[in-house]
Amino acid sequence: MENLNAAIGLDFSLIGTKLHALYKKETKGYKILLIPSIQEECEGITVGDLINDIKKLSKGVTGTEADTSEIDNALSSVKQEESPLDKIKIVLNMAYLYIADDGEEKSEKIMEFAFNLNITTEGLIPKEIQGIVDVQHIGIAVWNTNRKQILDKMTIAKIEDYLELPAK
Amino acid sequence: MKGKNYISCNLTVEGTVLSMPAQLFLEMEHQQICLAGSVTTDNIQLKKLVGKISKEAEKLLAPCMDKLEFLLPEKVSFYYKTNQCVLCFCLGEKKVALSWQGKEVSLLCGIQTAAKPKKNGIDDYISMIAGELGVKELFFAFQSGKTYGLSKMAEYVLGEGKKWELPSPLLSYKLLFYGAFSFSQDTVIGKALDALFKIKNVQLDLFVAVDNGVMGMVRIPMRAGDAVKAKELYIGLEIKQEKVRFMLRGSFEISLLQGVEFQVGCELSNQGFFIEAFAKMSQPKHLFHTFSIGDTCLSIGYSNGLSFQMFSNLYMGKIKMFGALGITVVLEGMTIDLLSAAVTDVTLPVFVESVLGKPISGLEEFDFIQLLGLPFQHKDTLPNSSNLDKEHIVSWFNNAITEKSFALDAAKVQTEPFLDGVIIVDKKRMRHYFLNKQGKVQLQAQFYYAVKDMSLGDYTITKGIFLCGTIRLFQKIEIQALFSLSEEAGVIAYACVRNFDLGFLKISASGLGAGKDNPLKQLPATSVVRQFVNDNEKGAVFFLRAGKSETSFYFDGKLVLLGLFEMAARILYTKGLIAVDVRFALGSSIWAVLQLKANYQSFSSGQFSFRLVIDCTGLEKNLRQVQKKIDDAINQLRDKINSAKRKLTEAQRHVDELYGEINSLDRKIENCKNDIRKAKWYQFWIPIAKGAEIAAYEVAKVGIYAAIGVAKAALEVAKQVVALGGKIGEGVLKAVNAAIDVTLNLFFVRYISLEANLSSTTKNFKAEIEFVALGKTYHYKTEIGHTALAKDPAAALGDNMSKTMEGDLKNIENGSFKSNRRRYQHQEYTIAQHKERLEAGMQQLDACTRMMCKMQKAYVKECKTPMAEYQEMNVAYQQAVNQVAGVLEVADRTTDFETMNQAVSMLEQEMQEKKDVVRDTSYMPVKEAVTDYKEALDLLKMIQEGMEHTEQQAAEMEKHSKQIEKQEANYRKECVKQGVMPEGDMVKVINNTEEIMYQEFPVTRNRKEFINLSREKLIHQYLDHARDELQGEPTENIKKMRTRAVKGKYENRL
Repeated sequence: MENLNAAIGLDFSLIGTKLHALYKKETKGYKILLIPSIQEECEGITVGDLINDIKKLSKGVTGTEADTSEIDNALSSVKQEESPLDKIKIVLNMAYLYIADDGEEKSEKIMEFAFNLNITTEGLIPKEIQGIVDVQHIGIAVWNTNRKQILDKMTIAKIEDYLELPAK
Repeated sequence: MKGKNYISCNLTVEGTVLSMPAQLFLEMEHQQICLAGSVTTDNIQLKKLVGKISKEAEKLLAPCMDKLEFLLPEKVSFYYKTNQCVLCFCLGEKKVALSWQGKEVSLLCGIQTAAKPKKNGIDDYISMIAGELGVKELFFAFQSGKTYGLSKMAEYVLGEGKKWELPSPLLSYKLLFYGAFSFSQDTVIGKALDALFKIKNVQLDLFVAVDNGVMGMVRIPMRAGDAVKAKELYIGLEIKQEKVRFMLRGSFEISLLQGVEFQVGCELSNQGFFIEAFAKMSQPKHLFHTFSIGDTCLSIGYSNGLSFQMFSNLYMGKIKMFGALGITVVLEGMTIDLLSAAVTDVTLPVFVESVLGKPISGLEEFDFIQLLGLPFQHKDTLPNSSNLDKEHIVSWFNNAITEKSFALDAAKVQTEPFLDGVIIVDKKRMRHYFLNKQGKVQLQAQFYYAVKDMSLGDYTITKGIFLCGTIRLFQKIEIQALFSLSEEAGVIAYACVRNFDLGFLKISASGLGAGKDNPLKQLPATSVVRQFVNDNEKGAVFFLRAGKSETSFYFDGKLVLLGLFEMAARILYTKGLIAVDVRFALGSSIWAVLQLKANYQSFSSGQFSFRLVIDCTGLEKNLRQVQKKIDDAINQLRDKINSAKRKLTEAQRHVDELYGEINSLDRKIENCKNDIRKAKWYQFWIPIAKGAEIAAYEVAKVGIYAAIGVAKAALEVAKQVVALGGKIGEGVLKAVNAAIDVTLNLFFVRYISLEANLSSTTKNFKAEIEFVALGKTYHYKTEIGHTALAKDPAAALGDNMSKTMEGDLKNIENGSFKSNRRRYQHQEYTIAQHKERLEAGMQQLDACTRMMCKMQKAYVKECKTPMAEYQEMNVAYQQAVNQVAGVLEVADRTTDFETMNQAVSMLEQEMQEKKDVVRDTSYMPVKEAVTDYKEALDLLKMIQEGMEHTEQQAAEMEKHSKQIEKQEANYRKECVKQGVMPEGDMVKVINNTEEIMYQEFPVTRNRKEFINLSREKLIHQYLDHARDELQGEPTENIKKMRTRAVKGKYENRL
């Protein structure tokens, strides 16, 4: 019998970022790849929109809306004219995942990943303490890959980009 | 899961602190944490800032707030990484950076000057004045440690993209002022320069450094001219402890010599002068024919004497050479301060090709000498070998080496593509490497000797000695060496002579000690030498390390000269422990072993043993003193023996003692059997060769019996002559008496053994000797005390032996001496049987010699190289053959046959003359004895022929050994010519060997006294095992021989 090879490609959007996923089944092992596809201007998504989407998704699947009252209550103490959830915007700058398993027991499996998330938090800090400390933006990046193309796309913040200090 | 073996992450936070824009950055990469942050005050007023924290404080501090305004920086940044902290402030036009790492602190302050002050502060007036004088930027620096942390801070203070390149003479100063002058026409000096010299827009940098002395230095950026382009020019003046020094440094490019940069340095002081010219070339410049020149530097100075230093890189075809020389001439004469040379791999064909510019075909065969580098033996090769970027190579090299003293600093390394590899030069140590196209790196063959620290061109020279390289001679002898001497690392010496065999000279690993392998393989990876030890190659090794932290010494090697003289030693000294194994051997009969294991600091725990064995069988060596005593005793004995019968009996006993030789030969046969048991499966020829040796010893045993047979026949004649008493004339009796005197004097030494056992508690020496004299085997074993031996060793040994013999000698004198007759078990044979056995023995010997030769030739024919142990095998077999000759020679000496023949002819003549002889029955025994004696003379003749025959066999073996060597040399040449080393079919070799064995030792042959190798089960097993391992099959003929029905039961020897 001929060996079975199959590949499934999928384009989808996660937190407002267009991604491309590929699953490939080979004779013995398999490969999974997740990379961002060509991006249009990505504006990200607010936490409020994200919760609403989850609610809709939950209703579509289970018939009832997901219970998000705990999150709402937690934020009620800082409630202002506009919901703070609508001010927290999340942008997924990079989501890269590559898993390769050749099916051999002795050989090591490969797992590489890179994620870069920017969170705009303007207005999240209560006005009462904004005079002392305010956080407008948080960037988090985690990676274990050495692939230059991926790292370039991640636009990882470099110390010299932020501070006028000697390059590290 | 495999990915990068660590995870990197970073976190950035942007926000405000007290309404001031702030940033925080945290990063973890390569398992290092980096933390940085900044706060920008953005021209906020101090009053307002304090108010944000506390309104009360604002009110309280309101009166002095305006005066403290200057303390508020526009921006504060901090940075932390690998223990280094940098804190930066931006105070208006001033930028201040503070750096500390451990106890070292550096401060850098920069002021941008302006013509008009913004405020009325003192520093603003300074700025204004400086500005008027043409100072565009003004810097102040301070350092507490040896190195400025300025380079990192400078980018912040000087601005993006600018680098602080301080002239090196300034680096040792603690306080530093630096001003960048720009004399434009709107400044006072600019106007003056314009008015006086018509020079417009002059720019220069001025440095003033203060510490124990003062140094001023000006950097003048020169304008590019048509013919000469100067890059930067420094002019400096230093006043330090009443010494004044003027210096000038700069680099130029001459348009006529594109790609060559000349760096010039000059110093003049009241102590001396110094001038240096360094030509730095981007590409080697062609000189003539195949010669080109690379970076070259010349330096001349005068301080305590006239000094001259230079280095140059010379290219000659496929060879690159580097040479450096430094000498100082003083009143006493000339001293060499620096001497260094390095060269890429040189072989004779490459050398000739490089000189002539074209290859000469056929020269490869004369490639008898090669000078090569010392390769690093780490398994890693340069990844991504097409990337020959300097940083990439240095990073890989530093990861691959295991000893930090070889680590490279990318800033002090120069890489240069050469042939199909890259030359790497470590300018920090004046050390040269070569990276080949396979991505393997080696130290070039080089030599370095420097007596003082100095700098030359872009090289840093440190006091020390370094040399390394590999010399290969005749493609066979390979000698590797490395020697390093420096104040920091002490002495490191390593030498390895790879196993080689020139026939007359053989050098190899000693094979002594518990670990037969090269123990350098057990060295930790961090050891300097470990990097150069090839696990797969063996040889004599020497290693020494003597430094502040470690002292160790190791030697392991064996030298065999002419196959006779052998010296092997293994000495290991490390961490105060010493272990010594030494073995000395002369031929196979004399050898000595010395073993010592001790703690160097405390010898009380040491153990020492020594053993010397001299095997004298087959030799005829007289112990002169002892023999003299024996001779005296024999003379006295002769006087005491009144009866001729008694004399005959004694002579008979002496002859019987020859049976003792059979025991000695049996011991040698046992040794051969032990050697067979030790053979590995792939040494399938060892059982056959040792079997041939056994066969030779068995022939020797036959020879002993024959010798005794001849001697006995002679003695029988003598006995019967004496028995006739008065019936025989005095002349016959005298002749017989003279003949048996020879038998009485039969004397030979079997072996001498000296043994010493020394430790803290016991000190004694043992001596043993076994010799045959007076028809008796003497075996003396004596123990000698340490004191007696230390006082007079010769006397101690001699007196002891004399004392032991004294009893017997006295007994000889008084006639009561009895020899230990009939101690040995033996067989009795007739003369006819002796003849038949001796004849068969000679045939056996012929078969052995033929088989040895054929077997080795078959191996060489197939494998194009002789089997590894062929020389040892041949020497051992030759010795066994010589043993046969030795015992046959003894037969010739058992009696004075010439005198005995005269006696017999006199006897026969006398008997013919006497008429009553025919009837007198008392003459019958003497007649029979004479008949037997005559037959024994035939045997003696056979023995004498046998001696010649064995000598021929020995000569044939020697001739064969030479033929094998010649064949090997021819095949080697052929292989070199064809560029391949053919691998032989070992199964074919095994089958050929077995068939040769069947040819020379037919399976039908079955004699009780001689081994038949073809019927020995153990030999079959070895051959089968080797075939199984190689997955081979025996030939049909072999199968047939194995199963062939033969008469008689054969008794296996092995």
